[in-house]
Amino acid sequence: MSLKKCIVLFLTLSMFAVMAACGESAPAGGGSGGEGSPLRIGAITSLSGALQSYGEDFQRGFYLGLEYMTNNTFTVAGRPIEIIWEDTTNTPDVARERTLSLLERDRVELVTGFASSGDAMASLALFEEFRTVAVIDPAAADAIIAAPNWNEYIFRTGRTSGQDALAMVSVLQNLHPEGGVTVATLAPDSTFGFAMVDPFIAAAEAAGFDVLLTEFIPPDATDASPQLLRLRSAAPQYLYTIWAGPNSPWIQIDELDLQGAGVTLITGAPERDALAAMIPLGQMGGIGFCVYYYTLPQNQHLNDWMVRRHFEEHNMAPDLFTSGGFAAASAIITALEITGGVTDPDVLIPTMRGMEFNTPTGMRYFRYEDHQAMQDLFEIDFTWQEGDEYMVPSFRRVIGRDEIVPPILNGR
Amino acid sequence: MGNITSRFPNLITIPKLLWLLAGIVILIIPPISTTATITMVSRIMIFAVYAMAYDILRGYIGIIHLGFALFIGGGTYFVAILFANVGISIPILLLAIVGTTIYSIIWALIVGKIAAKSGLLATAMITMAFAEIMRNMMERWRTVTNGLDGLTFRVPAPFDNRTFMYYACFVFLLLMAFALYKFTTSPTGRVWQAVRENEQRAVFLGYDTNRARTIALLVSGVVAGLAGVMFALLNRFANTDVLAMQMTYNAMLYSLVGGSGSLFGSIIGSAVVVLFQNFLLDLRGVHFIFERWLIFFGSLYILVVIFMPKGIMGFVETIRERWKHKKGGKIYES
Repeated sequence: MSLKKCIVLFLTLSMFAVMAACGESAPAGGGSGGEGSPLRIGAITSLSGALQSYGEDFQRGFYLGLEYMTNNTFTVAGRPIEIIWEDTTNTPDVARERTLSLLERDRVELVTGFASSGDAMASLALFEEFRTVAVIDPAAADAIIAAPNWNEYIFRTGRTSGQDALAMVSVLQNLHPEGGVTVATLAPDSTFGFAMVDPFIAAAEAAGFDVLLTEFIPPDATDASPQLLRLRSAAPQYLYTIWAGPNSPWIQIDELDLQGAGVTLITGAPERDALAAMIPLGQMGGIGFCVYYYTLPQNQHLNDWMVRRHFEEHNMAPDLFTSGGFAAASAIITALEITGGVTDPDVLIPTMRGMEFNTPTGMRYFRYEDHQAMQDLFEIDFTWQEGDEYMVPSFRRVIGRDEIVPPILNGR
Repeated sequence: MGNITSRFPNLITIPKLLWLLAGIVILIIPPISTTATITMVSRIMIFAVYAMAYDILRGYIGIIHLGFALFIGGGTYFVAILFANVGISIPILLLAIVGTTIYSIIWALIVGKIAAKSGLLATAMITMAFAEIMRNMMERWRTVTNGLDGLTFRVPAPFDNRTFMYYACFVFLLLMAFALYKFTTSPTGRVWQAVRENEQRAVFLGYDTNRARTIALLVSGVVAGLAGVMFALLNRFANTDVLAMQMTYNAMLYSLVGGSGSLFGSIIGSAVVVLFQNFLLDLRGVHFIFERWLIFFGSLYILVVIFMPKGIMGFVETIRERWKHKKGGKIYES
């Protein structure tokens, strides 16, 4: 047979196959399972790649959360819990495929995870298609709860970038109840930077602050002098610096003596690895907000337990995303105890809407309109003492969850 | 070194039976597999086209294009932006295809002009810069593209049916493979290989190497752009990762593992790498050592470079030549 005939044959066969196969296969619904049947949870996060440490922290926190919430029985409503872990490799199209595998091949009844917002965004539509509730933590993009990406199967226990911005503004408002504050921002010239700056500007302006400048640095630039010099001459009262990754600007800010120009540094305190880069900030002093640091929650029984257990199991303190994993587990177990182990979304979604659940940072609840967890954050001082391996956030006050209600973006 | 055209087996010399077998396997996968498998094979087929297009540049005309992601990224973003902002329908898809083609043509012409004046290395560096420019643009244009967070969108029927999408990818692969095969065995294709072997000699022999190079870039760019369109339809999501260096590395690695200079090699390379990655990810549940799957993945590349430097197809060809030599038969296929 010549090549031409081969190809014609294939195309013909393909056409027949397409016509024959064009029927929709019914998507697997979230099964409810009977009494005592194993509860399959699909946990998918970045377990390799740039956000590997976030994913691993989440994993540790999730297990501790399950242990606490189920009293170490790892069963809920009589159903033993089975967790299937998947690695998104921090690549959105791989994340989508692995989520698909969890939903279809492994037939999980619930999904949780996602450290990278890109991974989460690529998989959101699948939860609607397969009618399975997903509890997302810590992917923080506002886009996840915004139209047209959001659907009612999505719940997020982690905070959203909008809450970070409002927390920063709340810190300033608390310091200056009379108003009249001038601010400026310094952030990497990337999606992450824009995602943090945009809601901050909106919130700051709404609070009556004067935004003097918004400066952006290329993420891999080693010299931010132009931006910093402009900021120094503008001399805002507060400079909100956002940074993640290497080449952080703290040392240069100190060198160029922005503080001498009357600028106070404010920022959000991230996970421990990034705190290590912020030692100059601890030396200079400053004020900011923090999502979680293990000494911050006050009188939180869950946190005390988690810190103690984490030291026992892993010989180190729990970190930002560990708390997130714990919170996700807590939300899931709380909900399933109410529904009696039923994971059918027609029962589970109305249950979870507005539901309060306990976490290491305090009580959170899922907002009705977009299922985003309303939660407390913390106002902190930046401190550092000789011998500290990283900048240590020190407690000032709790930023209440009602102070930081982000705008509803999904059109509800 | 021997006759250039038989250095690597072209599509005809592979036994017909193997073709038919592969075709049948591909055709019967959907009814007997999970959606995840169907999606994975669709992804393999799209990446196969992408790698083939890359290999036209690297394996045939000898241009190292370090910004090749900008073609597949362009195709993906045309579809994503139009679907997310304008509407979802077949006419808009056709508009995206036309847009992608024009975009690829423009970039191909630009690189062609530069490659004509500069050497291999300079072209490589400049193309890398071009891809970064596109990635940066898409990242800053947040209002339209959502940057790294990405755009989600629905796709028009019948592309929302995964089985249909699978067969569409298959037909796409066949069409593109056929088109590229025709190109590489045409006189222009021979000129490409002449340019790769010794450009100066080709010029002295009277061939217009700049024209050949431009044609190679146009063909390669448009095919990669169309692969981007299919990629968007498959994933229903687009973010700036599709324009990042990793995407270009994917093309390089798939075509290298499969065998540079042979079209079929890119198809094999794409299949081998993606299947291997999935295989490793599936093993996570079996033993905790596979949590460090990247080590095994990297080892694959190291092994290929050491034992099969010409890629899988080159390896097959070496075996065949040795076998023919042993039998004392003709070394060159007629």
